[in-house]
Amino acid sequence: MRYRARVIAALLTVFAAAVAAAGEGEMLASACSACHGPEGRSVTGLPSLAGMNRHVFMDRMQAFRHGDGTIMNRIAPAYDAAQTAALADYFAALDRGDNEQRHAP
Amino acid sequence: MPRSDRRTLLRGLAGAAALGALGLPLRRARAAPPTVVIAGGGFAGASCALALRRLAPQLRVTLVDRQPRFVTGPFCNAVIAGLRPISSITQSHAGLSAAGVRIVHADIDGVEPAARRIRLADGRTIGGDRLVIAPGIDFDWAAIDGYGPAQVERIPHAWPGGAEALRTLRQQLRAMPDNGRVVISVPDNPYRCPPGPYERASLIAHFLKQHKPQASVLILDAKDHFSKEPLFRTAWGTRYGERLQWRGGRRDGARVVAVDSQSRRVRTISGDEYAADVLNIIPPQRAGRLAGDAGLTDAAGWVPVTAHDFSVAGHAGVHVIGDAARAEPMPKSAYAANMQAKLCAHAIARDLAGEPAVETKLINACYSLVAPDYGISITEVYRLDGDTLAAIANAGGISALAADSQTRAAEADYARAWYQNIVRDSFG
Repeated sequence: MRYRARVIAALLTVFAAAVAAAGEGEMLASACSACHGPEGRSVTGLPSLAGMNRHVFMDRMQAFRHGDGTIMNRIAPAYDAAQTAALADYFAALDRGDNEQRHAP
Repeated sequence: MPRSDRRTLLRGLAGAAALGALGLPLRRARAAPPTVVIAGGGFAGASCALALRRLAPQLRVTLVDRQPRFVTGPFCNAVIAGLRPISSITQSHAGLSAAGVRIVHADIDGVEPAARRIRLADGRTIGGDRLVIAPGIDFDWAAIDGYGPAQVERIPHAWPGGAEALRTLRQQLRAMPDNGRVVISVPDNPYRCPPGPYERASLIAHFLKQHKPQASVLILDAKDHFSKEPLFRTAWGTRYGERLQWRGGRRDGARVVAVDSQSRRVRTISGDEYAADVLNIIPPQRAGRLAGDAGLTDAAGWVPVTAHDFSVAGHAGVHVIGDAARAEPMPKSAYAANMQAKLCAHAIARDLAGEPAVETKLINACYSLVAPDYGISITEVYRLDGDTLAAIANAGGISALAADSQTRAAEADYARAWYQNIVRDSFG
């Protein structure tokens, strides 16, 4: 029983951490959606972030930090590695949404 | 567990915890879920309503606004310059309705922070567990002698002031003499959309260059410096030359203090007089009437808020978001209003679920069009740490001063794309 209690306690800790991480990613990501669309689904030429591979996301952010881009080069330097990872995880887990709608003018 | 399942579970847990946070017995709470009422359906109010429905579907959200149509500040200058129709910047609350927000279109008599309720002009009241006030701005009509509500029809501020005001200013530009002069009066900080007056002057100059090449624009500014100033000045030099002139507050004593609406003449603080064929007065501003009437504003006329949730100290369960809030160093912009609304919605959802606030980061980004193919931007990222909101030093800033025409054209495209996405993010 004691073993089971420890397992449950450990699982709860993991779950609480996941809750915190999910909440953090979602809140951080809400700052992106004015340009990139609600829940990362853009209805314009600006890129959608929903469903983006996390490594692609991390690489793009790294390139922006090194000066790529017109506006992202001024935004990306504000995010540390942990926050960038939380954003990458959040967007990677989202549905891409309807393809046709995403690319509508 | 897939993320979507986890989120559903989280929402269920949040709902259950919310009941405890409100101190309601489970049975009663099941019959009556927590409620949020929002006064104001512009970018701030609408974004908050939509975000609350996305984050916590168990919440009942009611939004009250006096008008069913909302003409946006963003791109109002393109409308004035004849570059796009008013319909393209007119939003409704239909998307909010579809997302499950209860919409009430009625005149608001006032808000009652202590009771967390909205009082309608017809005597009805709508209350909730949380009251969010998003009243936008009002004008300080005492600031400029001879310019008040009675003069607005003849001399529109168009900030943005609804479809009729934009139509009037657009028509006045079309009808002005070929060698005429447009005078724009710009207030001191803070006011709604810091770069807006300079975008307006730019797009009017663009219109004149095409249709009335002998005509000119003069900005009379209460300030000595303004948003994106080096970018605007560079662009004005290359695109508009002598056609667009600017005079500053202390430098030139250009603050407008009096208006003669009949002759369309203005007088500045230094005593200089200027005659205009088209006169656009953007008056000094303060928080919308609802906030002032409820006693929430400071001496300057804005509402001090706690940064992590945009709550108002001393008024439990009351939040003020958007232009009315004092959120320095964030500017009063549609982006900032949408951002603050989502932060506020997250904070309300977390609070009702009994979870602590999170440290996070906020963004503001504002595009301006100098011409249809020439866009410039300013952005800032803010660290939210407890109750402190601070711009992050190694990020943010304006577009590169030296950039090729492709970059300027790309930013103009981004501006138009941003508009479509923020409208979707705010109004559904």
